[in-house]
Amino acid sequence: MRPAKPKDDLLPGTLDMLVLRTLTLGPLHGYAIAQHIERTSADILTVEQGSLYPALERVQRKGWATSKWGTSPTGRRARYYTITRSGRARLGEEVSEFHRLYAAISRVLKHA
Amino acid sequence: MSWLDALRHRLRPLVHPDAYDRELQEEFTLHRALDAAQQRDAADAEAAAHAARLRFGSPTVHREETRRMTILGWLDVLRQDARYGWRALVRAPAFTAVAVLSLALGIGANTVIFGLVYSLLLEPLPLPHPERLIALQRVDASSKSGSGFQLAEFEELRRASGAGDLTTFSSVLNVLLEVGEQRDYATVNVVEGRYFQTIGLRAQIGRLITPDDDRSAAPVVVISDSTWARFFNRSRSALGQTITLRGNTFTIVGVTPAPFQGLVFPGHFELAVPMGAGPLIGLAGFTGPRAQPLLIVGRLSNAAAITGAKAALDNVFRACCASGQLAGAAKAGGSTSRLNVIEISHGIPFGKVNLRAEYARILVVLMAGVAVVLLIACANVGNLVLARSAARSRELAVRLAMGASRGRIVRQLLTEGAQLAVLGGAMGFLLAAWGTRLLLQSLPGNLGAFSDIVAFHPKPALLAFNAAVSLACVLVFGLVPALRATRTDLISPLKDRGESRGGRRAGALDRALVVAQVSLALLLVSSAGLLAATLRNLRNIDGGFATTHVLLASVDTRGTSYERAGIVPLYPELLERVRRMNGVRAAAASSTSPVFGGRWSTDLIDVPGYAAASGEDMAVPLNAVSAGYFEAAGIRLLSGRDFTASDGPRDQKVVVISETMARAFWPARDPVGATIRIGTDSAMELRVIGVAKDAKYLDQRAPAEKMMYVPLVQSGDWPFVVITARTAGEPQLLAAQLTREVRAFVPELRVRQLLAMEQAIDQSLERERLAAGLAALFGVLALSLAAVGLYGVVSYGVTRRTAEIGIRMALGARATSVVWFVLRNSFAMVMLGVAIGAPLTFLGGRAIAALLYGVGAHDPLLLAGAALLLTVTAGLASAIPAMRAARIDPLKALRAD
Repeated sequence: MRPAKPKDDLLPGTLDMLVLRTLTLGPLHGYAIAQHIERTSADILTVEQGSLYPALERVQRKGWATSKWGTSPTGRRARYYTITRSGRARLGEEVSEFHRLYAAISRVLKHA
Repeated sequence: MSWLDALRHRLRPLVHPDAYDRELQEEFTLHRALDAAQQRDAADAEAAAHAARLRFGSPTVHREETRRMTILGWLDVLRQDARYGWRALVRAPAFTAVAVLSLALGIGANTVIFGLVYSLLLEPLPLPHPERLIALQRVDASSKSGSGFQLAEFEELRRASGAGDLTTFSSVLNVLLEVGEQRDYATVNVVEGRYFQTIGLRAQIGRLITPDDDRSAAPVVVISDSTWARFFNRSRSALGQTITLRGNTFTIVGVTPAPFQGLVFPGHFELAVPMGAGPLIGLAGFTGPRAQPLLIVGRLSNAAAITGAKAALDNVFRACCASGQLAGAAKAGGSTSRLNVIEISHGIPFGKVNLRAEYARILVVLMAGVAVVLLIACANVGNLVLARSAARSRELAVRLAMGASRGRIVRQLLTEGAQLAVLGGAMGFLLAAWGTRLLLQSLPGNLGAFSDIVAFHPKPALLAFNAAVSLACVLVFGLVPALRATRTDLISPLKDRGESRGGRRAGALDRALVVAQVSLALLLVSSAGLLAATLRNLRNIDGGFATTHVLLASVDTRGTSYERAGIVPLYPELLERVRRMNGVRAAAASSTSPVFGGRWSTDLIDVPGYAAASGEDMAVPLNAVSAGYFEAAGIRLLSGRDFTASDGPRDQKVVVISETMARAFWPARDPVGATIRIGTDSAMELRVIGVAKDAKYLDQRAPAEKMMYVPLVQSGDWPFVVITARTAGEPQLLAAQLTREVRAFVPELRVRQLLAMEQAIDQSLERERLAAGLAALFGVLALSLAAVGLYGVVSYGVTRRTAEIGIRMALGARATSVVWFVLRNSFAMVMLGVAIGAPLTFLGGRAIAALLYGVGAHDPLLLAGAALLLTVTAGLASAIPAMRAARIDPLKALRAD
């Protein structure tokens, strides 16, 4: 996951967190996940496909999400990803960890 | 179960690799299509699709990136490593050949010995659920041995027992078998109708014997795989053909599978007929005084039921059969017996000698020896890998410097090691198949007779053992050099031009490996020496009888029309014919012979005037002999006379006793003229007419036993005799002629076993020969492997020190001093190896002390011999590199640097 500009990495693992958070809305296919992240971030974040699919592979390997082939509203075959219970637990941990980190960085920026 | 989902997800690409790629492709296509649709408002379709493609980037790259994370990616890396390793091995053919051959010899030898261990000690019967099979044993209060059952008893036990299926069978020896023109004597299993069904055997082709066959006494026969191969060359047309057993025609209905060798271990299954057809092969029935004794076996519903079955069957047995009334045996005093139930997953033990235990002692030692051979082989390969990784240290340093992780390089080196081990293991397996066949051919004795049991088959257990040993080798010789190789600092291999290669420490490790090889080889060579000395000592024991120029033949009437009358009316004329043969100096007959064997009968005796201590064993074995036996067998008469023609059947019964027996019962006087009563009813009185020197009939290591000799003509019927012929020349040369002579006399008579006494002794020592022969083989293997290791290290050293040697020569060193300079190094390693190995040989000797005879566990002379042998071998192995060193051209050597 990268911000649109400049093209450097955010904190590692953040994309996984965003993907999991998006999946809490319900089962989605890859394009929809990317779209949702881009829209919600008001196009500040662009999800590159080269990062998205490895990330989806990763969350499945960890058992945080599963996937199943289904039919999209437009009638096309698509792979839908679903978050698992351990994925939700993980998401909670990651979010609180992120907030902790974010707060720490903010403090440094404020007082340095 | 999210971990289960995760695991399933990880393994899925392995199960459906194509689907994985296809689905990923489909997902990407959808992504781009949706993206294009999104852009469509802005521009025309084509431009939108183009923009989507641009935004998406290269699908191939994405696919590779995603794929790398899956198990497929891991396999890709493995494949890459394997291909890379394979190229590296092919580029160094000499290294690969020596490494693979070393491993193949080590692993192959281990597989051979493990094959023996497995088939002789570990392998269960080749039947379904062998742990549920049981056998019933009658334990008589009077005699310790079980005596078999009668049919009535079996039926009673089967009727009353709820414990499981019971069935019964019997082995009938020496049944005349005729197949077409071929004749032989076979052991026939006579089986109850449900026998095969109960033990769970299925036919290889055709069918096995059924209850209907048994009921209707059908003349049908089931043959073993080896019988099928021998007479019918495994042709399916054997089904329906007929064979003749004791003159009666039987129809072949089926063939048993090859692994089945009967329930008795060690056994040899040839033929089976239904019990109903028993009379057709000459059985008097299964109940009554002349009954053929039966073995009862059964199958439990589960292995744990054995305790219950034991109690239940014993109860039934006590009620019906313990007193023997059903058996029709009117035993005086109604001696009772009880029932024992044993588990027979590894076969019914045969006879009193525990063959398994006898072999176990030797096989354990051999297994240890062969493991040492493998260690030496691994040291060899380790050394080679070390030398090579030293040569490759530049390459590895470059790769490390370019950022390859240490784990990645260790993995690469381990993959190469695994490839070597797989090649070595596979070749070792082939070597083992070939070696086992060779081993069996070189052992014509007992083990040879069990060749069907120990024959090499690629059984799962053997394959698993082979794979495990190969894997262990990878860890031994692969991991250490791999870790070492990655520990090298990056600078020095890159800085210099590669000739110092790891420096002194690598040199120290490879020399240490050679020293270890030498000390282990010393251990094996000296143990082989001890076992060889044992064999020599055992061959040369003075057993009190002649061992050279003696030909022995057992001549049998069983299975012929002379069976009822026995051999006694025939043997005098037969002996006359043998004595007339050219080259025969003397000939005699006996019921048994030292070492060669025969019928061993033991009688209770009573010596008037001798008060037996309570509990003293008054049973003395007896050998019924013809006149002239003592001369022919080379047993010296110490006093009195030999039997003569005047000791006829109606004359005074006479006996010659052995020295030990004379000492036991007449310690104070010459027993000649004394009387012995034989048997419990004191009807037979024998007069002692002579005393013979002790002869050891069985174990040549044990002290001689008591023995009585009586004339054959005074001792009833004998089914066969052993003919002992003293020859002028090589006894084997007369073997064929002796057989012809017997056939010319009575064509039906059968020469069952024909051996020179030396051969008979060799056969009796077959376990010792097996141990000594294999130990010698391991010694040779160890020596050759150590020689190869030494050669490698010395010649590597010469290459490394070319410049130094060149300088020495330039400064005026002569060729001899250069040779000595090289040899000195290798002798130093050998001496160190011997110094470390000597205490090892003491431990080794102590460990095999139980197998030794007439030689101490540490024999200094043998040890010195072994050390000398190693030194000479080392000298030969280092001679070639030493010569090469002496031929170094100082100019070239110095210029090259």
